[in-house]
Formats: sequence, structure tokens, C-alpha cells
Amino acid sequence: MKTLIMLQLRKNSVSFRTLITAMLASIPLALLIKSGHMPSREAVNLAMFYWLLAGIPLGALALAGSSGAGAAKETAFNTEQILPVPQYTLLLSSLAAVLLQVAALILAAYAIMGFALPLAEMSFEHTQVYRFYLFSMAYLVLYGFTLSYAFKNGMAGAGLAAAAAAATVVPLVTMSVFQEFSFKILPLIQLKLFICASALAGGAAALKILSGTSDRQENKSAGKLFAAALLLAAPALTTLASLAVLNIEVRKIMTPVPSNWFFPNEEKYLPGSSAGKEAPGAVLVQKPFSGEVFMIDESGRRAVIDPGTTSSEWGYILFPNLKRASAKRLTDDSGTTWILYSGSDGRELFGGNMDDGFKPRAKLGQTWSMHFISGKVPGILDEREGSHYYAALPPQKDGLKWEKIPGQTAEAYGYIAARYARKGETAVFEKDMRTLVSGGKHWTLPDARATGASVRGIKLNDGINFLVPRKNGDRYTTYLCRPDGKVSALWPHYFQLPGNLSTTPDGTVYGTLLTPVVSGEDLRVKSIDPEFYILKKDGETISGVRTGRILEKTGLNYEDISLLRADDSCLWFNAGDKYLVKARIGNTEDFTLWPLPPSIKGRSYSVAVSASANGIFIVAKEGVYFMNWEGGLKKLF
Amino acid sequence: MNTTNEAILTVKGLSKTFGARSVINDLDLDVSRGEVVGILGRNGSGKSTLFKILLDLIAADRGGVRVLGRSPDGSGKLRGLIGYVPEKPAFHTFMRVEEVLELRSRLFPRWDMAKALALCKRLELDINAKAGSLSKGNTAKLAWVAAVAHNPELLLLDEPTSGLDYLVRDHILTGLVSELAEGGKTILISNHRMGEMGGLLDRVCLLKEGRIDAGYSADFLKTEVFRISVRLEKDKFREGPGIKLLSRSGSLAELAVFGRENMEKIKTGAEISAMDLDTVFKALLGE
Repeated sequence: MKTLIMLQLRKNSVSFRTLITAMLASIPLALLIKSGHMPSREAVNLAMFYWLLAGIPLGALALAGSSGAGAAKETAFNTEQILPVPQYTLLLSSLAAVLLQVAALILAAYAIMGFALPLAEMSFEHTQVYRFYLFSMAYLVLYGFTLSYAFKNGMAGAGLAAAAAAATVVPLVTMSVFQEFSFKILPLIQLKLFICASALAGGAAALKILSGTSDRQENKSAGKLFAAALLLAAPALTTLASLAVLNIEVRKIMTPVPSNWFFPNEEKYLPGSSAGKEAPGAVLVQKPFSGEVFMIDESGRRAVIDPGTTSSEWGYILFPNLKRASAKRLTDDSGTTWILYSGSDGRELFGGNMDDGFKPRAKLGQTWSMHFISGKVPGILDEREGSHYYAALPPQKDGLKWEKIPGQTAEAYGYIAARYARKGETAVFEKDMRTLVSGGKHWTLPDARATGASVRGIKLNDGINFLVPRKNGDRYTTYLCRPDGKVSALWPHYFQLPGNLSTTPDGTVYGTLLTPVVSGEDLRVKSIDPEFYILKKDGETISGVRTGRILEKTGLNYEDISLLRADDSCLWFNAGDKYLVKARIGNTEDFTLWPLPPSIKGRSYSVAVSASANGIFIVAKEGVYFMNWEGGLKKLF
Repeated sequence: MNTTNEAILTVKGLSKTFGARSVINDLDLDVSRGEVVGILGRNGSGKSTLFKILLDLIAADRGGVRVLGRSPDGSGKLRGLIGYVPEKPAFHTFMRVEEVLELRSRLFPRWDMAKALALCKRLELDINAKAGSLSKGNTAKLAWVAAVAHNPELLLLDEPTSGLDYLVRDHILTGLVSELAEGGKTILISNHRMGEMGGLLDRVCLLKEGRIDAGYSADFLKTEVFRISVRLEKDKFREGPGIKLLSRSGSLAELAVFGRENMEKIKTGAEISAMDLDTVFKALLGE
């Protein structure tokens, strides 16, 4: 084989030398024509970059086309086929020679660029194309050679190969980009491997069939020719079919509406606001393809917020153009649910309920961040152009009345807490930083100050309590300040609401401590075992709840588990949006798993599972489901 | 010629079609070791196709082929054991003669480079000449060297003298082929002008309509074929087995008669004479 490859390299040497000479000649040309301010290195890189993008692919087609057509000529039959080697081996040696020459051209260009791509000069599209570069080059050479051999014509073969490569690689690129930036719908890694393998192996197999029917004059049955054609077309058919499947599937996708795109969640700087919890018994869902957004409750009743639009027809050829919505909700004492909504048509305030539906109530302008405040009067806090503004709900007839809040951030928050927070919902420190006061009550805290920020209250069965972290040397303790004025040490760690504490719909407060599990004497970290610290609504605390066994059983990470509910004897967890887990308090190794319908992970980082009083909503890939606390599942939509 | 009964080549029921055209049609052929066999046929009768099948260059549609104990399997190994001189020899034009031979030395398992160079010298072939600049005669010489330098047991010569001038033809045929035949090599020669093969042949097979229509030993062709001049009764004549019409002028005709037994069928008084081999072969081909 080595002898034959050397022979083929020699046959192609004139064409190859022409290409490499042209490539080298482009260096002084690039230096000659570059603009004055452009560094020489950049000019050379740009020249090589365009060789990689255009010159080498065209050169590869030319080399492959002429070799393939040459292998089909009578001259080749007379000079080479009488040698004692299989005719297919002769073809493979010819193909191998072209591959080596193209590889040499690529390597030369890469070496001239200093073995590094000029990523700074590359557009987004270029970076995506280069991920498939080597495969595309091999594809062009193999198909250019095979098709030129089949048609005994270099130009025809090269043209067809270019078309086949475009039909195969362009959908691959668009699917990759889509799945990187949107949703993982298809098993793209396996698909790419299959397409690469089928292109290369299928091309070689087709060449063998064609060698048999052409060189060896085997019977040209329709079956053989069809098989060869199918092998050659398989990669393109696969990618086009995959793109079609992607387009079909993406139309069905549903995701939860996140609240973090245009309404950031950093409420830690807003004492007294309690915004954005899920309205009990309902969840906001979006269909990114059409842009439709609706709210759905446990009974399956739907109320449309945004009807969406029809996507571009080009979505079939390129990748789908998705619409992403973001929203925050607040239900006031009257039962009206207000929604800060950011969709494809801009930002609006909606108000309504599941019975009467939702109507747009006011337009919202550009904002840096916007939040609900559910204090004495529900309202909206808006930070824009370096200032804070407040508007009470409901809006007036002519829209929201914005009031500018004096002062910068800290002063603004203090103003908000004083003016809008309900009595007793927020506590602040006195100057001694040990006395906490709220609504006429005060608590004296031990240890030293760990934070001087105002403290948001939590509503337990006995009233508004406050969780306050304090410091003693290097150690932290979180204290609970109860409505009766008592202070008790709760947990031997730093916990603060809303910093590293979360609340569930049933009023449970919890935080998570990540404890490394080490092995052996070298203290190598084997895993991270999250420990839950839980304060139930009845005031009972549960410390150090470990979920390592759950993670081990479900194969998930410590980041994937969150608490949903706590009752007298059990805890419920969301394990990675894949399982609802019910575990016994006191022995979390005694647990039950219920698998959830598969949801789709996008870049919005929203969680598909949201809890309500009676169970969890699961915004799955193709539908909305509700599962009760004992694993009973029903499809709502 | 030295022959044995060992079959070096056996073909049974061989068939090959190209599209709708049947080129070889149920052909049988046996060749013993050491035989020199001529395949006689008109242009397009399938001689080259037969050779290509024997060389494992093209696949037969049906039938069995055994050459040197192997069947053609697409691997090309048979070609390493057979010396082949094609009708239109061709070499890579950018190679020198010596490079052509070096290439073959790396591919043919039994290549003898010393023999190749010695043959080049004997045939007055410049090893430094570019293959693309060689004349037709020198190209033929190079083809011969390439065919015999790996000491093949079987030689297939496809129209070996086609287009060559008398001197080159003589150089190759009388000198080289004789030597090979006396050395016990088995040779299969296809030619539509078999007359110039002369005394080299042991046997001639007539390839007609895709099959071996008849086979004659060389001795038979030399001694048992006669020319007869006759007057045809009522201007009617039909060729029969062993009797072929050579020429005709009115009722006068010249016939070629194959075999003494066929002579008995002809009325006495006819003018009988021996026939030269060229004419015999022309008669067999129907030319």
C-alpha cells in the first residue's frame, strides 16, 4: 500500500506543488496589500484563514476530482490495474494520497498561523464551521474522488461532492448551534458520530461497489447502483431528516417561564419585599417556538397571557427562531395575580385571575431590574438610569404612576422598608448591632455582628420570626428570634434569608451546606454531600439532613437536589427535575422515588418542577403534568 | 514443445455479457503445462475479455476458472503469477524505464531485477529513457520485460505483435517466445493473425460467437488441411464441418478441407494442394 500511495502522490505532485506554491505566494501578497495599520502577523493569518476557509476546500475538490476521474480512465486500467494488487486497493491508495496532500496543505496553513486559529478575527459563524472542518475536508475528498470516479468526470464529481457536503455539514452546524444555545432535543453527539462514520465508511463502501461494477465489470444490477447511491446519500439524508425532526420537536416544546432574564432575582437588597412566589396551584408555561405563554392550574384550566406568533418559514432550513419570555408574579390580598411580563413584543404588566383570564394593564419601559413589593400596598420597584422608582398597584386609568425614590441604593432600600413594608415584616439593628427591633419588639443577640443588613421576617405558625446569623471568632451561628421575644441558637452555620436560605410554598425555610466526603488518609474529595438545615412552619428544626444516598441512587449531583415540602414525618425533594423523592425525617435513606416526565434543559436555568400546596407542577418537554405528594401523576396539557 | 498432462488452466462454462451483448458464451478451455496455445478469433470475438477474466481483472458472470490452482477472487494475486503482455501496453509517462521496473519489483513477489535489466540490455532498451518518450516498439519491449522478469509460469500474450514493425516483431517472437516455450512455460497467445506464430504453437483454438468453436493441433493444421479447386453443381454450395469456401468465380470454387476424412467426401479429379498457415487461419476465421 505504501508503494501505491507513493506512486499516487507522485502522479498528483504537479497539482499539489501548484497549490502549495500559491499558498506560500499569498503571504507576500497579503503583506503587500494589507492596510497600513494592520500588523503583518494579522495580515498573514488572515490570508491563511481564507486559504483554510476557501482555498484548501477548493483545492481538495480539484485534487480529488482529478484523481477520481483519472482512476476511471483507460490509462489507469492499462498502467496500474495489471499490477498484482486488488483494484479497490489501487483506488484507496489514490484516495489516501489525496487525503495526505490535503492534510499537508491544512497543516502548512496552520503552521504559518503559528499553530493557533485567529479566533479574535473569526466571526461566530466561522467558529461554528471550524468545529466540523476536518470532517468536512475528509468528506469533500472522499466524495469528490468517489463521485468523479463514478461519473468519470472531475468537474461533475467535485460539484456533486460540494453539494453533498453542504447538505450534510450545514444542517449539522445549525443543529449544533441551536442545541448549544437553546435546547438539547436530539442526541447530537451520537448523531454526529453516526454521520461521520456513515459518511466515511459509507463513502468507502460505495467506492468498493462502484469499483466492482466499473473496473471489474460486475453485473450492474439496479440493486448495486441503488446501494451505492444510498450509501453516498445517507449522511445528507440523515442530517436533513434530523433537522426536520428538530424543527418538528421544537414546536412542541414547553418550558417554565423563568423570572431571571429581565427581572433579576437579587432581592437580597430589598428588605421588606416578598415577591415572586408561585401563585399557589398554578404555573406559568411558555412555548418558545410560537411565543405562547399561559398560566395553568392543577385542574388543567388555562389562561393565556401571550398568544404568540407564527415563526418564520425559514425555520425549516435553518434553525428555529425562538422567543423567550420572562415573568414575575404576585397575588395580592384581593386574589388578583399581577404579572411582570417580558416577551417578544416588549414588557407589560398583566393582571387577572384564572377565572376571568389576564389582561394587559400597563406598558413597562426599559429597566435595569424590576420587582414586586407586597408590603402594605402591593407595588412595583423599578431601578433604571441609576435611580429607583415605585408604582403602586393597581395601575391608574392612565397607567402606572411612578414615584422617584430619593437616595442611592442603601438609602432607597431603607426608604422602601420604612414606607412600604408591612409592620413587623422587617427587622433592623440598632446602633449597638446586637439589638434587633421590629414592630415594637426587640431581641438581644449574642456573639458579634455577621451582617448589619436589615432582616426579612419569615411567617411561621406563631407569627413573624427572624433568622439572624452571628459570628463568634471563626464560627457562625444562626439564631431564631421568635415573636415572644426569645432568641435561640438554631444552626451552627451562617444562614440568611434570602442569601442562602430558600422558602417552599408550604412555608418551610431551608438552607443547604455542602459537605465534602473525603476518602483515605490523603483526604481526597470523593463527593459532595449536601446537608439540609430545615425550619418547618410549626417551628420545628431539622439539622444536617443528608441526601447522599438519594444522589447516589439517582445518579445526580449535589446541585440537583432541592427541598419542596416538609410535614410531620416526611420531606419531599426535587431531584434534578427527574424524580420526586419522599424521604423519612430522621432517616433519609428510607425514601421513595417517583420518576418525572422528561423536561428540557435550556439556557434559561429555569427549573421544570415547581411546588404548590397539593403537589408539584412539572413543565415537561411536551406537556404540563401535575404529581401529588404520593406520586400520582396526571397530564394537564 | 515440452508438455505434460497437468492442467494449468481450466475454464468451464464461462460466460460474460456487457449489457445486452454476450461476449463469452459458455466457453470451455483446458491448457496443459508447457503448451503454447493460440486463441484465434476475429476482432471483437472476446479474446481480450477472456484474458481479462483469466487475469482476474474483470468478473465472469457464470462459469468456473482455475488458473495455476487458483480461482480469480479480486485480490490480484493471480496477476503476480501470470506474465501478461497487453494489446496496448502503457506505463506511467513520468517514470524512467528503470523506475517502471523498480515499481514492479516491489509488487511482484518473484521479481528478478537482474533478469529484467539483462533483458533490457538484450532488447536494446535504454533504462534511463522516460516511458512517455518510448516508441511503440520500445514500449512493446518494456511490456515484454515487465511480463517475464518475475518468472511467471503462465504467459498471456494479447495481440503481442499488433502495430509492430517486422524487426521488432521478429526480435520478440522468434527470439524471446521460442526461448520461453522451450523453457517449459505455458503460453496463451491471442491473435487474429495467427500465421506469424508459425511453428511456436502446439494448438489453435477458434473463438467464435463467444465460445471455443473448434480446436486443432498444430501438426493437424500443417499436414491435414488442403486446398481443392472444384466446379459446383448447380451453383449451390453449403459449408460443412471441415469444409470452408475460400473463393468462388461462377461455378468454379476453391475450398479448404480440414482432415483427410473430409477429403473423401470430395469427388475425385479435383485439384488438390497444401495450404499455408496464414490461409488456413483465414479460412478458419471465415475471412
